[in-house]
Amino acid sequence: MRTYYFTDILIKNRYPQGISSLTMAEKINVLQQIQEIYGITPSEIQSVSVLSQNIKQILTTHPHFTSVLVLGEVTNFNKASSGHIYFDLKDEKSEIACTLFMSMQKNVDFDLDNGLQVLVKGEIATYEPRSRYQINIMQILPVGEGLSILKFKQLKEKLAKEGLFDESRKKRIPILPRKIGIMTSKNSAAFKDIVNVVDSRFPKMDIVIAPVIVQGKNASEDVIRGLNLLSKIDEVDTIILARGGGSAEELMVFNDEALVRAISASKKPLITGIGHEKDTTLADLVADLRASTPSTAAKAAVYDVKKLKDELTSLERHLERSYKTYLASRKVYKKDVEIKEKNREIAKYKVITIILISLIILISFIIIAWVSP
Amino acid sequence: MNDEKFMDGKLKIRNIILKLDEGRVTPDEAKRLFEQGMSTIEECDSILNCYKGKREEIS
Repeated sequence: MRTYYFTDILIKNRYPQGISSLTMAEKINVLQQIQEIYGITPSEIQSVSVLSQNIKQILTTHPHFTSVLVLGEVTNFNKASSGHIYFDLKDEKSEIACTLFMSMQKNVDFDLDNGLQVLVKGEIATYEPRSRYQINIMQILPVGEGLSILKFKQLKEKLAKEGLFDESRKKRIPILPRKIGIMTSKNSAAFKDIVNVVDSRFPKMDIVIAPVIVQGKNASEDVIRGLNLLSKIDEVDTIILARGGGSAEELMVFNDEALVRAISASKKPLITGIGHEKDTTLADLVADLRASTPSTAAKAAVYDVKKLKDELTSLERHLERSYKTYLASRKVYKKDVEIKEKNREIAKYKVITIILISLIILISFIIIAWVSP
Repeated sequence: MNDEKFMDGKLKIRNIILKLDEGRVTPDEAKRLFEQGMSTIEECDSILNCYKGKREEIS
């Protein structure tokens, strides 16, 4: 094995081929020179390899390094062709190299990427030939906002692949639902907005309210419960799921997988009016119609009854006009036929008259001829 | 379902109007179509008037 000493530089000029090629006698000579020139005892000097080995020995046996838990952000992410993943874990001041070997990746159920906050569990290891240290990861977990964003992204992709957001799955929103089902917090501004819009457009529209919790730990289950209740009422033809604006955290309930699947499985058309224009949840994506606010959801669910009545009045007038026009055209036709028939009669009588006159004249001539001598 | 009845009704009335405008029907047929159209309008109107403004709550 080749051995390099840090005294290389010192003796490079005298032994340009490097000291590794020196004989034992020459090496001893070099060490003696170092001792003479610098007063350093040869036993204090260690090779790079020995130092590297010593570092490794400490790092791989010291309890501070054999099992570490480190929190940081992924940067310089790289998946090698070998399948191993390399990245640096950083915080505000420092970075440390990390390796996630392929054999350890089977328990990672999310996509690692730059910018993600993670908690890693592993051991400090060194790569002896380069004397560099790194964390060999045994477990890695996403955390914080990064976790929420990642979960949202991954669930969205998963459900999209299953076709839950496909346009072809969306049900038509009826123009005239027999009843409207509303799922929201009962005393919320969202509920008041919906009722106001319904009252202004279709005051006699029948409404079934399923008050649900729209925020917090059990909200998703509660909304699913509300959806099931409304689904059982045959006359409810359209369902509105609404809540007013809130933080991303507050709207997280509408990204719950079970809720999204329940909406997808619902046989009744569902309109969402969640948060504000900028907020798009998975519930919005799976809904048959996404309205930007609770008020617009109500507008989409209920037509203006006055307009529908006006439409009927207009159709009635049109029908009457069409029938009158038909009858009028029939009368004109009838008159034409009568005139033609009269003319035909007159012509017939004319012919008969001419024939009769001709006959009379002819008979007169015959009588005159017979009587005269 | 109200929605289907209402939409079908409107379509039916439009078709009747079209037939009358074309004028290719006998007077008896035209009369029958007109009466059918008026009755459909009444049906549609009654659909709009069947709502009661009920507010139920389920839990």
